[in-house]
Amino acid sequence: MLDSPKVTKSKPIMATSPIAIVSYGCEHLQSLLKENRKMTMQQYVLLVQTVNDRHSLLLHTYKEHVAADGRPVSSLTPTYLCLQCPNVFTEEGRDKHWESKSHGFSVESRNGYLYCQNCEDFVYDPTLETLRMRGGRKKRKLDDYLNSSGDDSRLMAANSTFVPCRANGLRGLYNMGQTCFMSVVLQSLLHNPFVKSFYLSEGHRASECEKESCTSCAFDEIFTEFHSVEKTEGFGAVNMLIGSWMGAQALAGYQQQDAHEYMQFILNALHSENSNESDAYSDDCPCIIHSTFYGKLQSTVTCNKCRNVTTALDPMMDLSVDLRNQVEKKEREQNKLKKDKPEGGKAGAKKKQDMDVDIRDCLERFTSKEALGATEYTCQNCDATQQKVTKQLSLQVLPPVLAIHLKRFEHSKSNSTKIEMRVNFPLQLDLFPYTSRARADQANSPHKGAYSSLNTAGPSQKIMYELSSVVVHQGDINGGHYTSYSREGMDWFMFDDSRVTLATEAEVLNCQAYLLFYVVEKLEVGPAPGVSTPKE
Amino acid sequence: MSNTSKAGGDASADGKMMVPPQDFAGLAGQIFEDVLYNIIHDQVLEVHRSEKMLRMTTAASQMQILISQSSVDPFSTPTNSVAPTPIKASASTPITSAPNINLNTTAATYTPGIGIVPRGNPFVTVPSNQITCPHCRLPRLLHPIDGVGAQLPEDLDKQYCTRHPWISKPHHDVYGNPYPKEQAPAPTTKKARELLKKQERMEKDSTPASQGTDAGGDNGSVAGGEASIGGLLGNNSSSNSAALLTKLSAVNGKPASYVPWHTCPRCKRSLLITKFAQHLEKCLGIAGRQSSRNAAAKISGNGVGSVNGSAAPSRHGTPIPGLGALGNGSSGPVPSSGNGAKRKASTLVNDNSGIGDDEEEDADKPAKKKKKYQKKDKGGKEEKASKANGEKNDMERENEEKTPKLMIKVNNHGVPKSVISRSEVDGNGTSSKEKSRLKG
Repeated sequence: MLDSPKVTKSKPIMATSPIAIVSYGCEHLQSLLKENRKMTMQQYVLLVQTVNDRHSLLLHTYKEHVAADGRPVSSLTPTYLCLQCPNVFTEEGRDKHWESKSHGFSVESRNGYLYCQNCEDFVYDPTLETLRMRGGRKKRKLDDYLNSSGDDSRLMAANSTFVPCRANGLRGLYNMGQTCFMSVVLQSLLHNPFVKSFYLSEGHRASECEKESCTSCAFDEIFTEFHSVEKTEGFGAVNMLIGSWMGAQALAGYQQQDAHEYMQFILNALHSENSNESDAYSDDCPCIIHSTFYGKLQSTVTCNKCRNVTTALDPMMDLSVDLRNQVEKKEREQNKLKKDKPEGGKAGAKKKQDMDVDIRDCLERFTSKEALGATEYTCQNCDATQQKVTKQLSLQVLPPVLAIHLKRFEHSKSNSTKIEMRVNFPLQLDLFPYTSRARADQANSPHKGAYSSLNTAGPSQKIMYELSSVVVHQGDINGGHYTSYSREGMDWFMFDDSRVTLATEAEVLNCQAYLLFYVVEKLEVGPAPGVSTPKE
Repeated sequence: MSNTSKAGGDASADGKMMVPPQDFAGLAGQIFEDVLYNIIHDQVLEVHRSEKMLRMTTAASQMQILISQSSVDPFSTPTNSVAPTPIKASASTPITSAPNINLNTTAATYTPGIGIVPRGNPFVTVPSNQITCPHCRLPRLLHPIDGVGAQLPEDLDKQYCTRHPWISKPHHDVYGNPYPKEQAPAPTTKKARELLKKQERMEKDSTPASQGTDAGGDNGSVAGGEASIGGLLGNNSSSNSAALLTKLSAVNGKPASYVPWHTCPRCKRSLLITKFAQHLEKCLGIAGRQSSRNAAAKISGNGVGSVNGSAAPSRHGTPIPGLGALGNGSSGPVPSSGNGAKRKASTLVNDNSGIGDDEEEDADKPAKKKKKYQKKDKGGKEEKASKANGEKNDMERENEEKTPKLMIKVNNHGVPKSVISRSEVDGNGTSSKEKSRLKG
């Protein structure tokens, strides 16, 4: 659980004295590695790969020595994989194995931690931990930065100033007068691991930027202030306000604004300020914003007559998810259940839950098939006649950070209102079911029906995202107040203008979310250079 | 550990994986227990890992200090005073001169060529009150000093790492600063402001021990008062803890009730930060445009397409300034140009402070701006107070300085149009047909 996202999120390697690290996790491991370094490393990598990629049944099946016939037994609880021989044990079995064979190290089956029998404790060896966190995969270029030799870090320390330990980026932004829509979006970006590492690694240098009212410079200013000064009070993001107002006339002025609209603006502004002229219009812009927030949405249109399939790819920056349909659906269901009295008992039990909507239902609906009327589409294959078609959206390319916008609006002829209903959202979200691949699989094997998490999906079948920030709106459609929650390390914080307070997970999950930011749990950095490589 | 596995094993004794119905309830319970066990297992290990890593790093940095002390180095020899060696000394120590001898502490061993290896279990060898920050190498506070789970550290005179455990206390932020009082009437006139400053200075003078950080609430001032007494009386426990609280919270910086003043980068007027947007609207000359914006919102049609809503801006959202100017000039209501014309007709001065300014001002000001911020940061309240007194003069001077620039700007006046229109074509222009906003 402490894996990748935290790697990028951990305290940046800042200019301090070189942090002293131990060379080995414990004395016993030192002697083992001394004797047989290569074998041990290989074996550990293999075991970590097994833990990460293989079916968990394999890990949790062991031969019980107590049983006479020695048949394999599967356990739900963690098992221990011996580092020195190919055996799987329970906790007791592991200790017995130590007594009989004196194999002193074993790998725990849930996270791949190393257990030392001599210490009678888990040990965290710096070398093996990097292997573990990488999931036993091949060495990446990134490691050269991470494990830069002592010389580099000493050089860094000698040429940099000390950053106070307190300066860890947890500060509020003053409300400059109806600017909370800006503060919440900025806070969400400030605590976004990708954006953070970009700016902290001098991705945009204000001193070298010649643009006027540059929001990226203003953002850089905030990052510098938050991560280098020992202050705890809020910060007045005046330059950011000016930059935003100059950049977006629609958002300018002393009035309340929509946070989602501001997010669209600021991401566009940061994109254009951080990319070259040539890249700015290409589909695969390498700028920090595109490589962080942009995915591709595939729209598949199938003609009902000739079954001709046309697909189109659209870049997407966030998913705007409809709640209105969910509300209607729930209402319909309820009405239906009321009519069918036989099912009454079930309805009564369900009634309370029905008022809540889950974000996964919304996404499910978003990527489900939709029948379009004949008037809306002209099939080229059927002699350019208008045909009834089925349209389906799916995520073709997932962005490292997925922003979800909950459309909490209801429009009638006369007025618009806000949908106040609660939307459930998980701390960890599996996006695999909504990808084009999953949708295609589903179409190919219709007997399987809807994607079920019950099937024995291995870890590779899941693409986990972790909640990173939530923007909350309180009030009605015409005005109110925005606050936000962001996670930093293992802690959640609530940002209410200049106030920063600790928040519990329950508080976060119970809030009336408007924007959700999910960050991918694991990220494989390919050999291709790009900003997507976390620079920390 | 439960024995679900055994139950499963029994069930499969006849060769088929069958669970007898009567066992099912018990099995379900065991599965539930196992799943719970797994969750706890993961959580505990996570905490275990972070705690153990902290202790290992502590052991390593203690060893590092020892290494730097025993190495013959001109930089580190003078600083062999107290245990938490200042950061700079160890930082400047080149390891090339690392000693060729084995070193031992209770928690670690150092062997040349191998490095630092922990001795035994760091949970045993490094007591929790010895955990140091890997960055500044000062001891870490283990408990919050206020709010939920608050505990005062044993050693009152020790200097601690400024990274304290987060404070969870109602109406206080994570640093233990109280919230600003609701609706504290902000002084709007300069006279009132000066009066307030005077009062603040008086308060500060009366409690010198509080180091200028009156924690805002009653807590802080009481602590400040007692601190001075505590210093006189010596080791009185209650006053000591109060002094400590003050000392520790002194690290916390300004109380949350503090609302800074900020100089407007355009007109150089000093403003309360909370009133800044209001001022900026006037200063930039964008007031009164709401009506035209509302109109524009009504004109744009309705439709579905959430996807487009988010996707389109990325495609079309980064216009070339020139193009934007063209597009805007030809189509649609351009509120800015209309307004600008109006303003031009009425007052020339107003226009200068308007949007046309930004190129000029941003181009030559940044260096100056930065200086100003720094001054403010360091100077603290005293300087600001004096500044408030001399403010009028400052402003006058600045106006004088400004005049030549105004001339240039007038010359430049034709240009800004493109600037205005570039921004008109921002992200949402084409896309979100449903004008859906939650204002806040």
